[in-house]
Amino acid sequence: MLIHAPEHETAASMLVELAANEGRRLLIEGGGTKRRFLREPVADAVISTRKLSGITLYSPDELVMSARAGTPIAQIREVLARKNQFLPAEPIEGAVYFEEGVATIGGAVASNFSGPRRIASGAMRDHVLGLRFINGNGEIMRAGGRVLKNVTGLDICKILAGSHGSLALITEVTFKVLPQPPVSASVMVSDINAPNGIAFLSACLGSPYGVSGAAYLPARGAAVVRLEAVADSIAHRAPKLLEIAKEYGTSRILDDKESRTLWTNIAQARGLGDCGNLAVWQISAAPSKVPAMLTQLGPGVKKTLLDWGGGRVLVAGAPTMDAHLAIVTAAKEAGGGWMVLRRGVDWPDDAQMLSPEPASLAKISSGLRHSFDPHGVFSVGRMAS
Amino acid sequence: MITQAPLNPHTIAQRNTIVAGLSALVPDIISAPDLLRPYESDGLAIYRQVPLAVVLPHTTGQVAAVLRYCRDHQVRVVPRGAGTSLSGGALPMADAIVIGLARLNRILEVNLSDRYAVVQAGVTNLAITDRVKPDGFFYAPDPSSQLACMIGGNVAMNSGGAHCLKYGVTSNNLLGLKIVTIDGEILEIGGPYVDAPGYDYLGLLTGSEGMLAITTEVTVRLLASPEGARAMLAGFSSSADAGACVAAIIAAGVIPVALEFMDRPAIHACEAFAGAGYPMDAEAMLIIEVEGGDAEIDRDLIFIAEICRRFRSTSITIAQNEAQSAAIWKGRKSAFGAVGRISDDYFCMDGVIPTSRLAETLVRIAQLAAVKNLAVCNVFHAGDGNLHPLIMFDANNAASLQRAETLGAEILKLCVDMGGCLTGEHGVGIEKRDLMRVQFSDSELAQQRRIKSVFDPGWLLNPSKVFPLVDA
Repeated sequence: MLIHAPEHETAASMLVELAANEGRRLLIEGGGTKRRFLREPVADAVISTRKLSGITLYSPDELVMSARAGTPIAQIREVLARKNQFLPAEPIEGAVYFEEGVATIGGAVASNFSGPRRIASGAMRDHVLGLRFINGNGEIMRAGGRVLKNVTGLDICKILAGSHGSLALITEVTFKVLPQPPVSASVMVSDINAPNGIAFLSACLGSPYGVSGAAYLPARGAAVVRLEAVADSIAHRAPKLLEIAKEYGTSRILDDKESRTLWTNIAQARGLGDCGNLAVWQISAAPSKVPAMLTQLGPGVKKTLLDWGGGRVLVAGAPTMDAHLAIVTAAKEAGGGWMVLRRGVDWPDDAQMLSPEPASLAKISSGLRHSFDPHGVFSVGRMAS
Repeated sequence: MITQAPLNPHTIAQRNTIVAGLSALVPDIISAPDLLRPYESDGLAIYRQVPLAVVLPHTTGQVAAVLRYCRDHQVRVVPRGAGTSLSGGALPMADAIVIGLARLNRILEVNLSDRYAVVQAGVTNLAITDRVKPDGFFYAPDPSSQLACMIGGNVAMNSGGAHCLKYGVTSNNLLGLKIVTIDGEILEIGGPYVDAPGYDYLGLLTGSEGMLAITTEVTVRLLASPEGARAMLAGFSSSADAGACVAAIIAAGVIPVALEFMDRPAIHACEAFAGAGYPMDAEAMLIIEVEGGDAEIDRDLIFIAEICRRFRSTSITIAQNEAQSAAIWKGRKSAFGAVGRISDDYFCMDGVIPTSRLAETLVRIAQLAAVKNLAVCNVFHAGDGNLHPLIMFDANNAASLQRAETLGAEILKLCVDMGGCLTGEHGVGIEKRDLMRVQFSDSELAQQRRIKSVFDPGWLLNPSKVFPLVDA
């Protein structure tokens, strides 16, 4: 497929306008790591943000950074680290269910796809202060701004974050950053089953000790919570969490190095193993509903991984309709929402890709797409259930 | 003065028929002129308009029935929570009914292990925290009006508060909504978990000022209360020093849970009202609160006090216990009431600026006020640059009111010029509607209007708010 990689925003807007006039459809792509998410869009060409790259503003004293959409997250992390700051939502790079590529800030926002710290610090969408974007008419627009609080007009940033390129082409993101706590530590309970593991995570998240990660690792039969703080705070809080852990089984404290490695692995879902031809689903549900759900996922499931206190369930399984229907039914019965993170090889075309909307909401979604993209240029079909 | 959208004479002529029609749908309806009077304004009391009628539904089903009726008969609707909006978000129109949320006042579910609560839209902000506090949880956003304001109104305006520096505003603390569209359709958005798949309607509806749908139930995130929290006071001999100190605290890598600023007139007004022990000789004062275990709090407050000294603080008071912290906060939380004692009428502005431009902006505001011969005091959330200049005026003097309105507009334009925005937590409402063009281009406003039209093609929901009326 033809790939356009405009070098500046104006060129991008001209490309979009031309596509709109000629009735051509464009698939928006950043680093392409999430190209197997959801439904494959119908497109005549790709519009890539990879040349719309670079940090355009960084004001550490104000906790604010702006970067063009194609800026690699890794580059942003490095620049922030020099000032001891970080991205609070911990956007994921290098997950086992990703495709090869360099994850970009635009992609992290467009997919609102956050890492383990989401439960403590909010999602990508919570830290977006402003966006520049191009709508389906090729008009360059702004939403939000660069200040930390802003309720002026409709919150266009929120509706574009998580729209997976189906509404507009995000060209620049302004976001909030935070000071990076110097030390990471974890408390891990081993030989624990899922119901008890999730109960442990809930007990820790309901404690006053500022847990910034809470995962259950079925492959290891382990539940783990993370602290990120200055050393003497860790020294104060880790024993308190260890005290909670006592009720649940054998536990220990993981030091800084071990903790960092573990949470990188959790963010990248190493516990799912090599996803190869498999499909991967993400189920979001109330943690207390998850243990029962896990028993209902069906025989197509190979591996699972639980993050966000048990509220985010990643499922790797066979890319078949049978496996899909069993997983989706279990998610629905648990009152959860779900989406496909990785279409497997030979994925069934007629499978739904995310929790379907009721008819009246689907009508609003269709109207919303039309309001941004009246000619149907952008990532057509991506958000279709 | 404020103008409303042109009235629909047909609606006004049909008033009795409409009241009869709605009475069949909702038992609680108010139509007698003297009983409508309490609904003629909200927290922006300078603007008043009696509505056609007020309905107070008890159920989501009744809200749906009323909205269907209004769509079928082309009757405009102004949603209302507790009526505490400072931007006129709930100002009625002569040809509109008000749908009040006050009867939807039940907490439906509290789930502490999954850390959420489902509450009806008319539950007050503070009632949620009051319910879960004994179990060690709280609902984070804490607008000054939290004793009275309702969660449905908080959702509509995306309310903030003093502690959102750490915990975020309303939109960062919601999981789900039950809404009713103008077609009377009842929709569940999100659920008792984070980041539901699909478009982020939760985010779009939050802060949409009652223009897209009416919220009847809200699923809020509950957070575990910290081990403890304590506040400190630092006085400064100039606003510039205090402003620079704010930026230095943030830059030092310690983010307090709250970082509040008051200037001399505000200090004096609040001290006279609350007797909080504020430094009367200071030109500016910061209230800084941190959380954690006792030793952590001591460490952080001592660290912050050192930064304050670098900016020539004239006094530092560190609370040693909860009671002393509460005394420090009492003055701040009663600021608007305290200013009300020295001036019958004031406008509370809500602009936001980058924190690096705090000192410069305060100087410019003082200059602008001097030209208009009006007194301004400043009480605001300094950590996130959210200014609340209070412009004092005399509402019985038309010239004074007009000067105050003009000064307010000038201050908000200044905020935009500084790289900020018109409103940080109060919303646009009717107050800042005509300034939207200062911040947005015509095409950006058109994009926002198109989204409004998707939800509400006939522009029946809160139609005079947020968007400039011309070409609406």
